Amino acid sequence: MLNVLVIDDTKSVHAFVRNMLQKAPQVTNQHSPSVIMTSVYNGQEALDLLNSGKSFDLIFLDWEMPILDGPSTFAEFNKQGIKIPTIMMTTKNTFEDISKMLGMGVSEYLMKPFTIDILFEKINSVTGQDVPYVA
Amino acid sequence: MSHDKILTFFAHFIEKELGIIYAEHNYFQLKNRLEEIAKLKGIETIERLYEEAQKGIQGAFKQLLLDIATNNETSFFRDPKVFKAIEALILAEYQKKSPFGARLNIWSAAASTGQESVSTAILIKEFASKMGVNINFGITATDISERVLTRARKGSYSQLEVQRGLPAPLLIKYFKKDENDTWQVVPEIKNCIQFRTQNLKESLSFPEPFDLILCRNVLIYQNVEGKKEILNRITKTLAPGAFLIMGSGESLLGLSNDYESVSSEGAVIYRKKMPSLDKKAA
Repeated sequence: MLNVLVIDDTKSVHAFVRNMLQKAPQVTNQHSPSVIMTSVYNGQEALDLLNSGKSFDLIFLDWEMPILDGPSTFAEFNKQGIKIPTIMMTTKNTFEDISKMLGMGVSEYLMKPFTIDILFEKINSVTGQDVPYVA
Repeated sequence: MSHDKILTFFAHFIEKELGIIYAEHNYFQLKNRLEEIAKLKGIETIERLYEEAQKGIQGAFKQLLLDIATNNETSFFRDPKVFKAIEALILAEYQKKSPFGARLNIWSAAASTGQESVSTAILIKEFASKMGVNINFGITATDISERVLTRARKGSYSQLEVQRGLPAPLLIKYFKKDENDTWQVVPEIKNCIQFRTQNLKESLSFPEPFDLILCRNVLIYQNVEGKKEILNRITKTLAPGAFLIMGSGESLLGLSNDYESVSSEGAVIYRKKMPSLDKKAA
């Protein structure tokens, strides 16, 4: 089972990602999905949640958000020693944008828009798991 | 004329030219592809396309038909364990054997839009940089389809294409984004690859024997005789002791005795046997 935190200010993005993550098959014996997704809508909400003791296996992080944007959020992760693998998920995808965030230590970069095969490929490459999905 | 007879006609033509067999249960796929050709030619129905074909299937029509009949599905580093095996087995061995920089000659035999050859070139560059050495190598990338090779030569990939199989650190190292939001392979990689058309059912002629041939998911479309014939031809272009990589679902069992199989990183790779002493003496 994979616990995923999605940090994005656009509600439709959460619905889109949730819909895709639900294509991962259920863990049959436990009647629970193999990927569990939690939604927050800016970086500050994410930090509050993480500081309250919630833990995740993977974070998807948008760039442009109110209150605390993606790069500032990730800088806070680094400052606070939060070591959860993070995948940028954004329309900010110039060569310089990607270089900057990889330089800061994000694990991967998802350029919006993307398709389900790309989403699961990035999840699997970052977590080292082999989460299948039903296309 | 019934649809089935038209489809059978084109299926026979494709089988004769390419050895690719369309089973009747896949006729719907053939029908879709013929409709695509008809559209490209500005023809309304596949009945009209069939009438056109009766005048002879030649030139651009033939190329279009053969292009669309082949499957061009691909991605970067497709089946990653194969690339891990190339590094662990072939590149590591090359480095031990060839410290003085003998050229490593590679053939990507169903190059499609070029992702396999680009991935291989990136893998070698990354390996060379990790080991602190220079590797002199060249990749010949062939496909039967001029349409896909035209795209491959451009070395230009959409945002979706570069996200399939390519880790972001390699994307920014080996690609540049242009003003049309497409990603261009850098000359350092592009210059290592030569593209050309090649029908594997026709005679093969290359200036030097290959050290590695990638021929993945090509033979699956052939009948047994077709597989043997192509394998025999490919084997002659491979240096003794050199490597052949097939698709993960493919096997040489019952098709060729010229190879021994080697497992590495979960992938099966075929190694061409060295000539025996008996044969040498003869």
